Amino acid sequence: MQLDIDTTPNRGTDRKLTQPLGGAVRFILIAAAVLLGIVLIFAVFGTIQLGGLGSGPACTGVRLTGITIAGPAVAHLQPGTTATGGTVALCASRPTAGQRALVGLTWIPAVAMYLAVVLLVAQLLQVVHTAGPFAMAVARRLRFLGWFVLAGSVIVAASQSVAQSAFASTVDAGPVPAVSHAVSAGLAVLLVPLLIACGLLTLARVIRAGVQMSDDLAGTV
Amino acid sequence: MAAAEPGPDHAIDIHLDELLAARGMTLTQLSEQVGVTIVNLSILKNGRAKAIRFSTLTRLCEALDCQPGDLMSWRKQD
Repeated sequence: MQLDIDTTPNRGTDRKLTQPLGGAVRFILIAAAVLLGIVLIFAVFGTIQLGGLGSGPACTGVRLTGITIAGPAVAHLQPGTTATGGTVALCASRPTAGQRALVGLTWIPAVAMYLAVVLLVAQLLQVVHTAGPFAMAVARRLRFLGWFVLAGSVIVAASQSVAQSAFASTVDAGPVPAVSHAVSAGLAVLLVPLLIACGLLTLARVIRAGVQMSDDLAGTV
Repeated sequence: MAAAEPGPDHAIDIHLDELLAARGMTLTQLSEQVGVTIVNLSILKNGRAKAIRFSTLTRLCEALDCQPGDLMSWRKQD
């Protein structure tokens, strides 16, 4: 006999349940697909200069603390104020393959990870639609997403900062204190993703507790 | 008539069958009076419900003119 308990959990019949995140994810995926199509068209039929890829110069922003700006970088400074730079754009006019690879490493892993996160969120929302919000599958996917963001952001930040430092050392003939700057840049990039990952892992625990409560309620007449 | 078999995680017997037979009432009639679906009453009758609301219990007792103890009993386990 099919169970028809009064408090049978809502199996995702409410389309608004996953909004506004569902709409945002859909928009990002569509925008990413359109952007990828445009890039592919330009790659096939024309020249493309994208983040060090293509025939143009290879540039990347490098976070270097303690740089003193020489000259009037900020015009019309009030008396008694100073300007210091945090990030500088380093460019190689005729980059080598190694420099192009380093510039690519500063942004490709991040883009790949963000796309993967968006896809995982889309899958998560699909599971919420089919199985309902309080299902073990939802808790498992949230937990996986949390660990993915945690590990992915560490890897991305590390590769990004190391690539930036390595690229800076190929551009700057002088001594570049790359390691300390890489660490500071990495920490700056990591803080928000780490908090998000902790939030996702906590949310997975909350959903798991909700699944147990839902199971109990499912047998209530 | 034998009481409904208890579920695997409790030892409470539900005597809905006996009460219905004693009052000459069908499950459908009880369902209409109490406002609980026949499916849910069957789940309760067969001992597969995990819990019962006080509101449901109140309406069952009103409809069957009985006490909660008449509706269910604890079966001592070996």
